[in-house]
Amino acid sequence: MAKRYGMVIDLKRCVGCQTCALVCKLENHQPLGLWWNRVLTIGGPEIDTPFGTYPDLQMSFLPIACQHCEDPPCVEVCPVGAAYKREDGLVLINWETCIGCRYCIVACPYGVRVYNWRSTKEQEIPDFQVGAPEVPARPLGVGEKCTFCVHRVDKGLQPACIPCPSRARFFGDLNDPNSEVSKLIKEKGGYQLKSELGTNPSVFYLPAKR
Amino acid sequence: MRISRRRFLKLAAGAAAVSATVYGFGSARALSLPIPPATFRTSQAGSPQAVEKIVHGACAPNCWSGCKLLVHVRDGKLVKTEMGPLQDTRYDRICLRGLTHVQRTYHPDRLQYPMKRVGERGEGKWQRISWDEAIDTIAAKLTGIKEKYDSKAVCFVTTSGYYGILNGFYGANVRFANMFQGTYGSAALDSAMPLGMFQVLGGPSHNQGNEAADLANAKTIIVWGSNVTESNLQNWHFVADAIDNGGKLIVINPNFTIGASKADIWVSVRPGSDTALALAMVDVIIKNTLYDRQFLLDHTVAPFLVRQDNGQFLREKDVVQGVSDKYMVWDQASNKAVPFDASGLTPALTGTYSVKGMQSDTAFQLLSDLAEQYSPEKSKTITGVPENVVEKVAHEYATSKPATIYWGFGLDRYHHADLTGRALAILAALTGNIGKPGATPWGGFGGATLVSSPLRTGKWTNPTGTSATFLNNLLVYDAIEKGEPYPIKALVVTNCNYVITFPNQNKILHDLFPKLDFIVVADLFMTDTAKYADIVLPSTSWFENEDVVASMHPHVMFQEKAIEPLCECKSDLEIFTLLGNKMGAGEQWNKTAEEYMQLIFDDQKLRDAGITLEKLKSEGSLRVVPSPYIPFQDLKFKTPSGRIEFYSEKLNEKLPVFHPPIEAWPDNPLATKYPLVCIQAGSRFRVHTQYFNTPWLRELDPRPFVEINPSDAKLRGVNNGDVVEVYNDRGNVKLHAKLSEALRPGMVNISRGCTTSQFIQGNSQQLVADHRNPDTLNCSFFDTLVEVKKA
Repeated sequence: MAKRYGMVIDLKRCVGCQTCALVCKLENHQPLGLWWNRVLTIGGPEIDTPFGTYPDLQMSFLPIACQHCEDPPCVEVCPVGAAYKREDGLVLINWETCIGCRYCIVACPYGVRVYNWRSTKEQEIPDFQVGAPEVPARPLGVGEKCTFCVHRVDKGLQPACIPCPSRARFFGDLNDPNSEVSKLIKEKGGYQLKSELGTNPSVFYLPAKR
Repeated sequence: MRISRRRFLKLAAGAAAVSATVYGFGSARALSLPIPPATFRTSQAGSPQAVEKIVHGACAPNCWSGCKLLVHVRDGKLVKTEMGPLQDTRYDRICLRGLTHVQRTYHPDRLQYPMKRVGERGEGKWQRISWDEAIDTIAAKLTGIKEKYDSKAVCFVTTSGYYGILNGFYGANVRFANMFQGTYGSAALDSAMPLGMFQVLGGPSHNQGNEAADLANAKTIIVWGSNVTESNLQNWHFVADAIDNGGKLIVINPNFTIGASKADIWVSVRPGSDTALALAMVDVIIKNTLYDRQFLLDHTVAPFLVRQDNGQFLREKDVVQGVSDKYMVWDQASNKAVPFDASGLTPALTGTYSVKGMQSDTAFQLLSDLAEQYSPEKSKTITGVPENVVEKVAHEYATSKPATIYWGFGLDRYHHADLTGRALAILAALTGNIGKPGATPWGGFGGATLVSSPLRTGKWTNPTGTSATFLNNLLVYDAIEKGEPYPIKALVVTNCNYVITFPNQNKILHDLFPKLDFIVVADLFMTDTAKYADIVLPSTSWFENEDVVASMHPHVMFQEKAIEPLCECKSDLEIFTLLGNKMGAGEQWNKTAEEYMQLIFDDQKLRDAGITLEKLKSEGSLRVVPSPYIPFQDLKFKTPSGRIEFYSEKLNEKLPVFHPPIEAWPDNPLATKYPLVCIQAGSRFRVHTQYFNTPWLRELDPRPFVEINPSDAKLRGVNNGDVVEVYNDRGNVKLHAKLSEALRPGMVNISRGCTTSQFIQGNSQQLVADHRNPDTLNCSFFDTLVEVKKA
């Protein structure tokens, strides 16, 4: 059977530290203001705040990036075929073809696509390209998002965000029942976000609650 | 694939719903708050032909970590820091800060060349000078001060900016200070809790905890006064392993930390009352006979008799003149006092006995009597913790073993923190939770740090046998201000942001600095401290030199020179080498970094242990402490008795008792004027004062804020995001309010380490006092009362 790459994120271990957001930012050299990968606080109105009233409180975190859906709405709506899904499940964007219409941003049920709106007058630090040299520079005005670090996966490496300081992130072949990700999903009740939409994401979450 | 209009609308509606939720979840909203006008732009293409070089590196600020890095260099430029492999791969990790070195290294605000002050101190008027002029000036000033006063009048101040053996806080600066016979400003930070632990367990040694990986073996972990996911993020995964292994996590903290959100039990305790809570747990453990009787008899002073007349242990010579001074115990078989090591005895654990007319109690009896005063019912008025919660936590700790106490420096920030350290060590002593896998009263603290590393050698730091005078940094205040015990007239500051690190900033700036004839600061940036210097020197970043890094895990790491020094930056070693040569000590400052490293590693014990510089250079890291690292496995303690001394003959407080914080306590009349306890928790978006200007981190954590409970905010008419003033008699700071239910009502938090330019006005470091407890000489940053008003 063909591979279907997927990711498992253990919310019980996740402490919202934002390292996965930073490593993605560096590896894929995202400019100021753009984040392909974000970590949201499930709690109060601000980052790192709980809901409830002291001392009856709850808080958890949700790292969120492209869910690499089996049936990706972003691909369906793309009028120029720039958004596409590979055999191995990676949902990608051809930045040469993208016309920046932003249908995909509207269509994505997970709010994870970002758009590079403007050129900056402010200095980027540093002023040369950092991160992975294989990741192409994006022109202005295209949709951008997590690629599962396709440049790494194609070399047999794991995405850059997998070395998580909480050891909460896992990557592998969902079609292989013996892969670490398949086992985690099965044994620890992995679930998908907004599964009712039928998008069938390749990112699974393990529950925050014990 | 075609999409029907109906399906598109359905999906789009779903998207809108998620977006609303998503952006309501905090981080996204916070992102949109105070970032300066969004600056989006195209990333630039790298040159595809560029050859990428990957070298060994280490991230080495004072987060206790020291993560191994792989440092990527293209076209001579640092382009990426990546998690690197350590010899013991369990410790492989990197965090958000370790990923931002490209920004820290190439920040346009890096100091580029030496400068001298041309305006008033702090005015910000500078003139570029050459290194020659800088070194000439510094040498002349230090020599002049030495001649006019004494060499001790020059104080070398450092904190924990870097854990490199050559260029870190215990490196070239100490070598120079020792040769110059100056003053070395020491400690006053993070030292009262360790002191208390040492008093009970023997010491000092900063390696008294089981190594961090051992956390995973614990069935119970009490994270106490530690915001582990912020301050020691690198250790959290071991705690998470313990939980995955079926262990329980108990978090004791006044505030609902991220760690608390993961806990089985979160104990909300009144700030500064932890000693009383620990003693209440002692009471539960004793009353319910949950202690390890054999451990107490064999390895602690529990059975030793204590004379009521003088509080000293009863000695054999007290009973029979002229014989040994062996400790005495009460033998229940013979019904008399006998030396503790007599054979075939049945020592009494409890009771009061008359020995030659001397009334004596067992030390355990005294502890039981003391703990009775802090029963859960009685201590509740102090701690605010319900009896059943104390009972539950004490039961878990004493019965679900092995158990680890992972305490943090939140406990250390109070006037009587030494007593807290002793009380926590007693919990371990009672339950035998020490010296075993999964059991330690000092979780996560066994490493190879600069100060306790096997690489620490006088050959490097004390080459001439002369020494600097080590003076506690709080006493350095007196030396500058009052000339007591002797005058200090110059500060040489390396690896340290003095005015943001030490307390009572207004005193530093207005009472201390004006009394100094000379201040020289070496740093990467124009910090709040550098602003007050007479000469500022540009330091290299960690990746611009060779070094060996020893941090808070069991390895030492090789810091390879990844890139050439930027601009005119120089390492501490180069700076002190120039200065040493200028000041006539050239024969002691004639080696290269490589040669000094060889000198440090030239040791038979190291070679026998397989620790060589060549091996380190090829492998990048070497584990240098035994595996597993579990101190006290032999149950030998470096105390006078060789046992765990929960009762101390020599200390004023024979047993730890609870003393309230001297300022931040409800009984204090000052609390009517300043009713809020102000703490300065660590933040994962900085390491102390470092990374304050790193753009990616500031996108996530854009500005300083005071965290306040909504109920306290409401009383003051403060809404989320309002600008408020936080003040007391010592100073004030204007900043934004962040309303959070995580904050215990009656408390506020301003995370430490922000720099003055980030605040709207003032600085949070103005608020904290330089009170000193003569027994501990430790900064009590949380022993602080403030009021908050809308600005």
